[in-house]
Amino acid sequence: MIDQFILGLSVVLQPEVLMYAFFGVFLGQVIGVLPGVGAITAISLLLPVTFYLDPTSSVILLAGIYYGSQYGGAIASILLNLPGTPSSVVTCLEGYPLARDGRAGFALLVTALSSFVGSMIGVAVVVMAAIPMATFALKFGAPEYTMLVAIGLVAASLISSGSHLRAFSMALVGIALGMVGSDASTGQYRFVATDALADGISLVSLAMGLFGLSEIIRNAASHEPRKTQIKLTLRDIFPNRAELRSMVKPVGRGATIGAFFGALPGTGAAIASFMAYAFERRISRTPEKFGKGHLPGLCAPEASNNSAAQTSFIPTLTLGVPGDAVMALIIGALILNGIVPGPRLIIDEPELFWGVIASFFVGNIILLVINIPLIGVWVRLLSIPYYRLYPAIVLLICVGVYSHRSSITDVVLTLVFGIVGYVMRRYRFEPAPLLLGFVLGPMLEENFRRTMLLYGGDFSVFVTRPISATLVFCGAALLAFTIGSAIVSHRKALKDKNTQGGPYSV
Amino acid sequence: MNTLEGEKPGGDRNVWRQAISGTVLVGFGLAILMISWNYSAGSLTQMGPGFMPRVIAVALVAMGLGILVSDLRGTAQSYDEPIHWRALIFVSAAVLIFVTLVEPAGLVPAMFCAVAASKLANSRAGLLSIVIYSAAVTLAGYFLFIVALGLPLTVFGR
Repeated sequence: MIDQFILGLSVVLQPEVLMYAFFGVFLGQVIGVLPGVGAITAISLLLPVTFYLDPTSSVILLAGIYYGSQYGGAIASILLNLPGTPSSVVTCLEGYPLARDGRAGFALLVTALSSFVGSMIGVAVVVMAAIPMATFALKFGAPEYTMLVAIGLVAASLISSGSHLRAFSMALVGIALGMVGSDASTGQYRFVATDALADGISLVSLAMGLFGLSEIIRNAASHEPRKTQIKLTLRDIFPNRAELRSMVKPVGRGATIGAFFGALPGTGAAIASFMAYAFERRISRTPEKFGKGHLPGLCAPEASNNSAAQTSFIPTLTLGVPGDAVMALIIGALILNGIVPGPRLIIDEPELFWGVIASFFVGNIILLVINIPLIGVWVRLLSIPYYRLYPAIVLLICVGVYSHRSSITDVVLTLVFGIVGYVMRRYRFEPAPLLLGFVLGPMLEENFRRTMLLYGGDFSVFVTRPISATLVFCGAALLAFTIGSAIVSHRKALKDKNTQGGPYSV
Repeated sequence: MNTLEGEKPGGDRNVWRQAISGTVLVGFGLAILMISWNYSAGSLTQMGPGFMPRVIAVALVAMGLGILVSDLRGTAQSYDEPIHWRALIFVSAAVLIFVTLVEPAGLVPAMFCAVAASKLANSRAGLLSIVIYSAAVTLAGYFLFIVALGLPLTVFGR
C-alpha cells in the first residue's frame, strides 16, 4: 500500500499535474462559497476542458473542485448563514452563532482544521480500505438502506434544539416535499401542480430559501451596524489548548461517520454531516449548548463531510457506482477519456487510481495553506454593515438558484420557501430536519418499496439479515434513548415552569 | 441583529396563535392525503405511487394533532417579535422582479432592478445611494457570473 501511495505521489508531484490539483481545489473553494453555484455547475462547465487533458489530470482537477467546495461551503454558512453546499447546512447551526459573537475568524479556522483532519482520515481510509470497503458496501441491499435511512430520520429529530415532535413533523414535511415530481418506480407524476415541477423541487431552492432568504427577511430592516469587533490576532482565532482538546474526539468521530457514509453508494457528504451532528448532540453531556456555537457541533460535521467527500470515491472508482451527481460526472469524464471505472481500474490503471488518491492528500494540504491567510479577508466581509450587504446576498441567491437549472420556477420556489422558513421559525419549527427529510425521503421510499417487493411484504427481513438487524438494534436504542430523555426533560420543564418562564428555547 | 432575545413568556393570551402550528400541519397532511387519493396505492408487495404519500400524510396528521394538544396545554411559549413587513414585501418584490426580467430583459437589467428593490427593504436607503449601490453590485455580479464563471446566461435581452 505504501509503495502504491508513493507511486501515486510521484504522479501528482509532476509540476503540470500539481498545477491542475491546485487549480481544482482553488476553484472548488471559491465555487463552494457562492451559494447555489455548486460543484456540479463547476464540474459540468469544466467537463469539455477535460477532453484536452490526460485522464489522470482531468479526474484530479474535477475531484479537486468537489472536495474544495466542501471547504468553501462552510465559509458562507459561518459568515452569512447561507449554506454554500447542502453538506454545510449543519455548519450554519453552530458556525453562524459564533460569527455573531464576533468569533468568525475562530470558527473559520476551527472549520479549516477539522476539515483538514477529516479529509486526511478519509484519505487514509481510502488508501487502506478501498477494496475491502467496496466489497462491504456491496452487501448493502434494499433492507439495509431502508433501515439506514430510517435511522437518519430518527436522527433528524435529534438535530433540533427544540421539541422532538416538531422536528419530526418537519422531517415528514421534508419527505412529502421530496415526493414532488415523477415517482421513481412507476414514473407517474405526483403533486405536480405545474409542468415546471415535473423534475421535482430543487434542493438548492429549498436550502437557499429556508436558510438564506428567511434570514435576510429577518435582518434586512435592522439599522445598527454589526457589532462585530474584528479579532484577527493569532491568539484570538487560534483555539486554545482546552478547545483543541475538546475538538479531538468530535473530529475523530465525525471523520469515522463520514468515512462510512461516503463509502456507501447513494449516501453522500450531506447525509454524513447531518449524522455526525446528530450523533455529537446525542452523546454530548451538555446538549443544551448546541445551536449556540458549540465547538463539537461545529467540527464534527465539518470533519464528517470532508471525510465523506474523500471516501465517496471508493464506490465511484472501485465499483463504478456513482454516489451522487458529482461522482456521476466524474465517471462521465473517465468514460469520455476511454477508461471504464470498475473493479479492474486499480489493476489496469494503477497510476491513475493511486495518482488521484495521492492528489487528495496533496490537495488538502494546499487547501489548508490557502485557507488560513484567507480567513482575514473573509472576516472583513462581516465588518460591512448588514444593510449594505444583504441586497448583494439576495442577488447571489437569485442568480445562483436560477443558473442551477435555468428555471424561473426554482427562483419563485426559493422565495416561497424563504417566506415559509421565516414564518416557520416564528412558530418554533426548525428548517434543518425538513431538509434532511427532503434528502432522505426518496431513498426511504425507493428502498422500502424494493424491500417489500423482493421479500414479499415480509417485515422480518429487516431482522433476519445481519447488517440490517444491527441497524434495527441501533435505531431502536436511539429511539428508546430519545423518548426516555424527552420524558426526563419534559418533567424537568414542568418543574421549571412552576418556578420561572417556560421550558422551550426557540 | 437577531431579535430572538426579545421573546416574552406566556403565549396564553391567544388560543388561536397557540393552535395554529398544529392546525396548519394537520391541514397540510390532509391536503396530501386528498391529492394522493388519486394515485393508486397498490399492495404492500406492489406499492403504487400513492402508498408512501398516504403513509406520510397520516403520520403528519398524527404529528399535527400531537403538537396541537401539547401547544394548547401551554407548555410552550411563542415569541412576539413583530413581523418585518417592509423587509418581507421588498425582498419578495426583488425576487419576483428578478424572475420577471431575467428571461425577457437579460441578466444585467434583472440584477440592477432586483438589487434596487431589495435595497428598499431597509428604510435607510436614499434614491441616489440606491442607484450607485445597485450599479456597483450589478457590475460586480456581471464580472463574477459572466466573465469569471462563464455561466450560460443572457446578459441583455432581445
